[in-house]
Amino acid sequence: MARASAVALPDVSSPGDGLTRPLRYSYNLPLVPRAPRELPVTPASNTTVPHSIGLGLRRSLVEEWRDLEQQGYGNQPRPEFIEVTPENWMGLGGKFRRNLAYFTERYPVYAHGLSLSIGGPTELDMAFVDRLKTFLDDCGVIEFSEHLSYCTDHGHLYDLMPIPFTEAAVQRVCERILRVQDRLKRQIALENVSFYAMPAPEMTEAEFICAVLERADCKLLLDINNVWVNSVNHGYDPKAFIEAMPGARVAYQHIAGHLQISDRQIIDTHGTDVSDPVWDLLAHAQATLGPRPTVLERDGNFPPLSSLLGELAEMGHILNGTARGTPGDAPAEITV
Amino acid sequence: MQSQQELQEMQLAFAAAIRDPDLDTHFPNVSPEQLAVYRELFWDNLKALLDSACPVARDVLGQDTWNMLLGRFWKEHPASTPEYTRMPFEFADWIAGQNLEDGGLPLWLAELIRWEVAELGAMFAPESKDAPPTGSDISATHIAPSLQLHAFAWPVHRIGKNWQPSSPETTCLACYRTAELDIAFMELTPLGTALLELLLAEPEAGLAGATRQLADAMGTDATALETSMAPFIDDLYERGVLGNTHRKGGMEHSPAIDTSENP
Ligand SMILES: [Fe+2]
Repeated sequence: MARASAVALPDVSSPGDGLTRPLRYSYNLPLVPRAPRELPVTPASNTTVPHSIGLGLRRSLVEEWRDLEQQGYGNQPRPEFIEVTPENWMGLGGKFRRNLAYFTERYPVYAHGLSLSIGGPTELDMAFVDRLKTFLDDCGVIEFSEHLSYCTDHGHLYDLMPIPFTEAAVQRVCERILRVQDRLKRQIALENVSFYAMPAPEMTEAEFICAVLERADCKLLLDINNVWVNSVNHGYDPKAFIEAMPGARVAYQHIAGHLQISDRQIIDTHGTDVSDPVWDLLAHAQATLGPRPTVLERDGNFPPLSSLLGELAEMGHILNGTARGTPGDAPAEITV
Repeated sequence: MQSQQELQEMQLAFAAAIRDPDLDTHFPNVSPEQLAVYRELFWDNLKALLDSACPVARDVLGQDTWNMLLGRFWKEHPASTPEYTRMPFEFADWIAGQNLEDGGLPLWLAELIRWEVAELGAMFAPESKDAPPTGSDISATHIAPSLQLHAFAWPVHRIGKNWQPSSPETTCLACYRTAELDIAFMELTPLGTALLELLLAEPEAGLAGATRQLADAMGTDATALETSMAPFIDDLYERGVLGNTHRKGGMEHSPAIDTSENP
């Protein structure tokens, strides 16, 4: 399948960007957060993206992060936006609610869902989609993304299974994306996921993704780390993969660390620092597609927050096209 | 080309193969090693959650029995909640429906797990939509929405690696969120528990209504019961488990005892 043709979509989405977006459905989409927020002042840069460096909000990070908000970031960058996982916060009270409110009041919010199972073999849970909508509206979420995969059979398995790259799957997934977009009253972004097996494919991963984006008229969350992981595990050229993506549909990007098992096997853990090949690939995406808001995902083996901010600084250098430091440029942890 | 039905069957079979490592399913283009990666990732994910939700049960049962139990749950139970962190509640419900005796498992296991996840219940509970009653409505009583109240047949709060009960012993336990949003634990009398259960079932009737109902059931005088329960009630107000604007805390005696250890 050929690379998807360019589609007239604005390539950024933020509070204040255009209110009209060519979509195939007829209602007015809430393209800005319900309560537009003051964006933090971005350090001088020539990027056209209003917020470029984002950090995934995690329960394990909130306490330390709150302290930094109060004490200041020193010479390290403050994240320009956050990404939250709705399933980890929705409907909760107590400290969860307090912490979520603390951050959503201070930052532009992107949301990255886990349990929609957009490619699932059983019926979509539309009651859950309704609860999601309430969450997205309450938090003023700018972009909502999900995984182009499935996580259910007759119940939830809470992790990502690969959708077979077949024409039948393209049809099924697109029909479901359209229903979800219709219900959420917004365009959603789907993420290229890392996969470790692919039963009976009829097309390549790039062809599958392009077909889905085009036919469901949705956006792409381009996970740079996943491109690298899959390119190693399945032996393809990661740069060519990025070049094959429809640039105008890329809403935002992810980077993360992984676990290298061998020359030919990587597990996508989000539990280590971002590796050099992934930084290089981010630079390639920046050169190919232009700057996009990019989120650092860290889900385990958490280092001190200052180490993650060092990675955000590196990310900022790449996205803003300024001189690259090395991730190690962050103030070193003093060890005795 | 794959049909819709073939797609669905393949996806269900793939998930089933992940749930059950003993299934000898083969998929075109998928090596056993690749399938093993999925089995391991999914299993680790499940285990990380339930290990941290039920540390006492895991400790007491030992790694092998615990893993066997999780494996059965994983294979047999299609979890319905999209929220990963709520899954321990489904595990507690599932184990409550199992025949523990036939499975060679301790009879108190389901109650222990219920008590372990009660702490999560108190942490997660959304705030009440209604503000505590104000004004002259002294009969209305506000109950903390985070309150998890349990009457158990076994003293589950004392179970640990070094001690397990050999006979049942009615044990009433509760946990709730404090004003500082931390979790606190209480051991209650059966009478206090009965009163709170009545209040939870019919909050509109208020404390007076619940006391009257309880007195009727016991064949006692309501006023006498109210007097004897007063210190307990005062303690609940003090802790913020109960609230309304006409009661102030600061009472003398507390029959509600903090359990010394978290479950
Ligand atoms: Fe990602």
